[in-house]
Amino acid sequence: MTEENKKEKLRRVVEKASNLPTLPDIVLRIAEMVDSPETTGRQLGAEIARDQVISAKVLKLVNSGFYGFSQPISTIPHAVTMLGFNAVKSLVLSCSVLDSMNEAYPGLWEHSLACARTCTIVAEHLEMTDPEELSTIGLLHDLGKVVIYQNIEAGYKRIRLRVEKKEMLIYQAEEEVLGSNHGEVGGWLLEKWALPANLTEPITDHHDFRPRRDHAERTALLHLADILCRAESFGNGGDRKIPRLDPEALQVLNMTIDDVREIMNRMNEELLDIPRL
Amino acid sequence: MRTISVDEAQVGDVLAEALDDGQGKMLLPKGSKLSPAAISLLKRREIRVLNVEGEDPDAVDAAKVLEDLDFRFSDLEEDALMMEIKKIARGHLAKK
Repeated sequence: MTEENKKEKLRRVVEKASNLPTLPDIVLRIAEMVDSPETTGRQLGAEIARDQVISAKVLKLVNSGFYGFSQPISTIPHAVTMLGFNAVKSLVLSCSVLDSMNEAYPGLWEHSLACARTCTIVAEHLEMTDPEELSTIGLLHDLGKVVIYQNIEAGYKRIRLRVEKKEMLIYQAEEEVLGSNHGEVGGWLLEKWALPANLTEPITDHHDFRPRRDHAERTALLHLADILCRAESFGNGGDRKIPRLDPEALQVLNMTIDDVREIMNRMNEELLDIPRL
Repeated sequence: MRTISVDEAQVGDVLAEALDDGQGKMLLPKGSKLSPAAISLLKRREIRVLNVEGEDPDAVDAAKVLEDLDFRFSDLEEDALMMEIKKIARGHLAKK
């Protein structure tokens, strides 16, 4: 099978996985509502609030510290106001996947949380708008690792074996085994859920930074945040080695090593509750 | 053996050396197991540091953490930018 065929086949598996029955009707209704320009935050909040389990999960996520709100957010409408439609939609849709993070790779949840908060730190450093949405991108960037774990059992086992025996990076082992990496896989799922490109593209490309794509700045930010979390060993992405930072990512962000140092110092001061694994 | 401050002393720690009051009078012999009363006594006598049995679990971890850092960056030694990042991370990890 050619690499392209292999990739197409994988994409079909992933897209099928994103369908029912893993997603309850309520999630699909919420997804439709978010896409309608007529939906108000109040209506959306009311719909999400009808499902206690999902509301509880989303509120738990929103309050788990990675957004850094000073007051707890106790209602879904409040979350929609603070985070925006698309961030809430991504959380609703991915909450069942997030539950399995540490089953796929122990420490992946902590790594994702650290990455979410690091995205906020970088966004604040650069005075970018939408730090909450960037934080959501950080939280979900390794979604594809869980999708592979949940849906491609044999592939997942071969990937883990390579990572352990050859001390490879997960994304490289994935490319060898599946012809694609978890960034792309996660991106497919989010695209299937009709999330906008400014959210999906950074996740798709976080191991394949391309400075001329539409959302290069956000992608560069995620690429940097992921690598810094690994360098400081907050949580565990599932492999021990550290991917190389693309210097073009720093250029796109207009940053020097001094900016990186400031960010790493802030991570070190602010992520005290996240274990180094 | 490890050296700890009296504030770090835990009930059950075993003295690796005898403690005297600084004027030759023995307070506790080598091998004493610290009780709450013994710790209060040391504080009252203004003993600041003491040597107890056992390795410092944090010190062992710190060495391991730095060794692990070297390993994790081992494929990136040619990359000046990554080496700068490693140096910053090392500074943070070494302080832990």
